[in-house]
Amino acid sequence: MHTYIYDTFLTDKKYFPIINSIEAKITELGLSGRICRLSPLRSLRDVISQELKRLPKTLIIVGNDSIVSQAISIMGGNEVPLGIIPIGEPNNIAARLGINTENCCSILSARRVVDIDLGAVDSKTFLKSAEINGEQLRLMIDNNYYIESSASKVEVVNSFLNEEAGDLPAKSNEDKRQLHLVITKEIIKKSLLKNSRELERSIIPFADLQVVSDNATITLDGFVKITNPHSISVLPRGLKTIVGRERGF
Amino acid sequence: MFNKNLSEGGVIDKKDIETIIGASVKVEGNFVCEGNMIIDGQVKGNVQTNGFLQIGRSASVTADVKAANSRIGGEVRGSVKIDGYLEINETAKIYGDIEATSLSIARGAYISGHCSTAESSSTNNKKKSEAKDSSAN
Repeated sequence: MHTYIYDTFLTDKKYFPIINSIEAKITELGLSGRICRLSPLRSLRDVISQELKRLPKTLIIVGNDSIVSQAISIMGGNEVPLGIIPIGEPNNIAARLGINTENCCSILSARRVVDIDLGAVDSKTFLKSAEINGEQLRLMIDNNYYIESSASKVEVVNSFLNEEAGDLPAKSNEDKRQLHLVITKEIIKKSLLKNSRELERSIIPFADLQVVSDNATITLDGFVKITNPHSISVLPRGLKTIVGRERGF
Repeated sequence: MFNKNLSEGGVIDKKDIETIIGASVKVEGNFVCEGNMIIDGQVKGNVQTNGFLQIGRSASVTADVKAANSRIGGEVRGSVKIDGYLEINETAKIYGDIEATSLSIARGAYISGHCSTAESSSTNNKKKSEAKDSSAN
């Protein structure tokens, strides 16, 4: 049996027509299953933990990037495939997997399951990126060397999936399980006529990163926040997910 | 790992670069990478890659450096050992011994140390295997 988890905002009446239409298609395709609606009293973590114990055929998240990224941070390493019905905004993760509101039901029916590498921060996982915040960050890379930076943006990117990873090196070897540390600093170049801004970008591939600095925080996929993180590594084939034909990888 | 263009001092394609250290970043330790690398920041320790290494004019490297091919425009304090071609630009300051198979030094570059060119290890291996073959025959 499939399990559907609906985000809290879907109780808003404006979403009823789209939900009704999707539920009708799901019934038509014989994909009906158990529906769990989140509420302020039911956390996503509790619901997912309970539902995974029932060993559903698929766990389908209905909502936007916020709930999808939270679900990925909980589901990493699990054998149950994740499906997505994207409703609301933003929905960049679903888009990257080739899923939109129109094609999501047929994609669930086609059930094209792929294994995706995830990033892992301590016990939580992320799909696209993890932003590291803190003053005077000191990071240890692959137990070999330290990186220090005062740059404005420090993030770990899962280049396998990130559409903003245009500057990252082409992946020559798919077996090379790596994440990329991307450090961006805005440089203001002054001239007589006009000041211009340039971005200085550092890119460091790694398999294991230790956060040495105190009081650092990491935000996974823009939504899940972790304080005092210790390590970031690759979780190879960490997520089974249903994807569409038009996926971006 | 690196294309012919790089070994002849050509332009690097962005997609061929695996590691970039920007001017605002400091690296300390055993900085060992597999692919092509650009350093514009500060590095202390060791630098080693079996690809192409570019040390930019804003870079300050206090380390022994080893690479397949290299272009240096910044400051290096330590020995530089390049298996193939080394291009030293006019802005370079190198305080240490230099060893490369082939070498070009631009006018204005500062070098304090011994400078030698030697046959690459791959050429040596090839010659050794040829010698073995001829003695076997």
